[in-house]
Amino acid sequence: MKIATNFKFWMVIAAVCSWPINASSQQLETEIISPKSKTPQLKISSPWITKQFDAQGNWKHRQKPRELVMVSVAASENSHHIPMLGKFEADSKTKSIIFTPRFSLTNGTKYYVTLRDGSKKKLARTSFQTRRAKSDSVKIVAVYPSSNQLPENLLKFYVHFSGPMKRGDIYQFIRIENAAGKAIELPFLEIEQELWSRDQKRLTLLLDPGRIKRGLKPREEMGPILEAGKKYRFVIDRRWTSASGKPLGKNYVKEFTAVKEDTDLPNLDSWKITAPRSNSRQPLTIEFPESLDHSLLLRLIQVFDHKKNPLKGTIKISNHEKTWKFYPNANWQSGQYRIEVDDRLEDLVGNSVGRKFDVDLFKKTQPTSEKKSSLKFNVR
Amino acid sequence: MHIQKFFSTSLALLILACCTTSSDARNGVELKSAGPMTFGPKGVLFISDPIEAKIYAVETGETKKSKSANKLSIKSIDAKIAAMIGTDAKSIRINDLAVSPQTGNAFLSVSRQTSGKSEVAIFKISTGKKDPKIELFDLAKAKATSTSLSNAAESKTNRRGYNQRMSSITDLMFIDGELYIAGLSNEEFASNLRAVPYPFKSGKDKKANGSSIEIYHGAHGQFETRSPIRTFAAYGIAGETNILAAYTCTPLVRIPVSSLKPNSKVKGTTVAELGNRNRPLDMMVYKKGNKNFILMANNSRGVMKIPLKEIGKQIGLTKRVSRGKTEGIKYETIKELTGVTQLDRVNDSLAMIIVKEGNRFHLKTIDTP
Repeated sequence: MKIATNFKFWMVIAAVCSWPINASSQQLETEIISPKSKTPQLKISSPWITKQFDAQGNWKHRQKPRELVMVSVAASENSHHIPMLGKFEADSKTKSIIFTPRFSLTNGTKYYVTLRDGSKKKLARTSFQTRRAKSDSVKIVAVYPSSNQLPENLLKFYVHFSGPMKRGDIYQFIRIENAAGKAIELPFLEIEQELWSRDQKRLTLLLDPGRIKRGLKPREEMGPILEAGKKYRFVIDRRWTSASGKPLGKNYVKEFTAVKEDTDLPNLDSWKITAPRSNSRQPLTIEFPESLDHSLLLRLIQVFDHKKNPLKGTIKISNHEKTWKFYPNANWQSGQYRIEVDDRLEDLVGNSVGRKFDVDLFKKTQPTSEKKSSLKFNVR
Repeated sequence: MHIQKFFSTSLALLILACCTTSSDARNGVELKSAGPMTFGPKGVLFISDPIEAKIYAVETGETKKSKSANKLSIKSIDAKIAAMIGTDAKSIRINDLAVSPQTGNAFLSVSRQTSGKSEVAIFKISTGKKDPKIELFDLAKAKATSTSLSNAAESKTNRRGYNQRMSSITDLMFIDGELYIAGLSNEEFASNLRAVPYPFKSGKDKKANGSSIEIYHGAHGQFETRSPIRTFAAYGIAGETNILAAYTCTPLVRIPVSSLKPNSKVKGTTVAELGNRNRPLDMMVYKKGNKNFILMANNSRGVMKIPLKEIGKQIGLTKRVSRGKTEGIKYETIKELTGVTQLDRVNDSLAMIIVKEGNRFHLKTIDTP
């Protein structure tokens, strides 16, 4: 495990409040030092500590520095202090004790440094406060599906933020309200692990599948989440904070109307492909008759040239996730290209190219596969 | 109204290609994230890293069978660990608890968020002495092997910069030489149970990544869906090992491990629906007297004690469950145990739990009910 290396964060207000414990107490000073090494360290010095070095700069106290100094975070000066993990070393050059914390220091936190003599008598205690981190304000940049007409068996929302958000207990900040402004009870599948993207800027919310499926107990008892013809508001609470602790500031509201359930699989035969011209960087355009899953559209459709090389380029999705455009990095050449569609590509209700969300067990043939489907187009 | 109803779980097994596996033990593990953990043989602790899509098998040295496990009770374990890290309790999360079956020592995976970055640590709570000792388990010095769960298709898209896909790991367990990993994706809706043989094989070995078992979750007698498994446990009945899996969308399903073969379709049996507004969190198997039980922690229905004999007898639910009732297995709710968020077995007579009380978390050993 690495200790945070960005030392700029740890600009410090060091050792401003050192106070004596008793008459023989020592002025205890602390300073966060940024040596060329990657690890932020704490320099702890006092006249008493200086005296523990001999003329050659060797540590002469019978006890090791770690037995004499404690760094801690505590509710108050007099509450129980638990030592922070880290390494203490006697530094002969400065005749001080250097503390290397095992974990990086936290912004906006008060740290105590306690010095004892060998008999466990407290000689001095001081404290310092790390600067509050610049808390980045984060806003919601997009919510998918983007349409305001959503099927009543909708399975997912994706919420995109401009920066990383705070994880943990997120479901308290998200709700779906009905037309009367009343929050629908437990609409989401609440997963302790929470479905975040790697950069913590995109959250996936699954609507409780037990409430979507007919015949399942949660739906029987609590009713469906969405009903066709009714109006809803998807609300994200302004009190939810970014990873660095700044609240969103204002509620995010997406108003939508539920429409009849979607039971059809995405069908590649119904896709309309507009081929680009050769020697151009015009986009290859695919239009779908229904909205598809925004995140999967970015990942599961790929274009190959006739040599089977995947093309590099940029994907743009528009028209409420009904239009997929691919802008290549290099000009199109005359000839045949192939579009590969992963069968896991889903529509808004979890029906994928390969398989329906609900599969009839009694039908003999089940469209289940993990394969890829291909579409071809010619560039002229 | 009685509607004929049975639940079934079919499992189609697929072998996924192109995973990398490191079977050579090396020193030092650097976790990007820490998800569920479980103990395997010879003191090996499996730690999942969902961000890296990896599972590490870490040698903990927890191999000496302890004669007697001491009971412990540590109030505000979260605050104590936070202080050792140098932060406040609000800033850390305890992701999972795993108890060594040999020594009874507890391992906690803890993460802390600082400025969008996550730091992860494993803490060990030694129960051998009278006073429990909380210490950092040094991953940097630990000997470990690992296996990667991502496949080539995903890393390809990764280079294009679009890949935000991640699999959350909801539970893992070592059963008869294989590590079973349940998870779900943050993009496609697919249930995924993967079985990886341990010791991990090298990357060239086709079996290295094990089988990825896709689960179709049945409902209503007609349909099957793809609901993910939230937590599971293994138990033996009449010489056969079974998995008892709690699904995200309600039922408890029994699946014989022997049926989980590649390229076969398996029907599991739904043995209970445990009630609505409820999330199963964790479970363990234990023996009391001559009877075997499952102890299951839930978010809103407390801790359930379910006799395994009942599960063996259950042949699947056949009728609709009436409002607010639970159907199938008869079970007991342990009223004294509220707010249990984590649960692991110490031995047949003891269990370790983490209890949430207000904003604080306590770690304690309890007698199995």
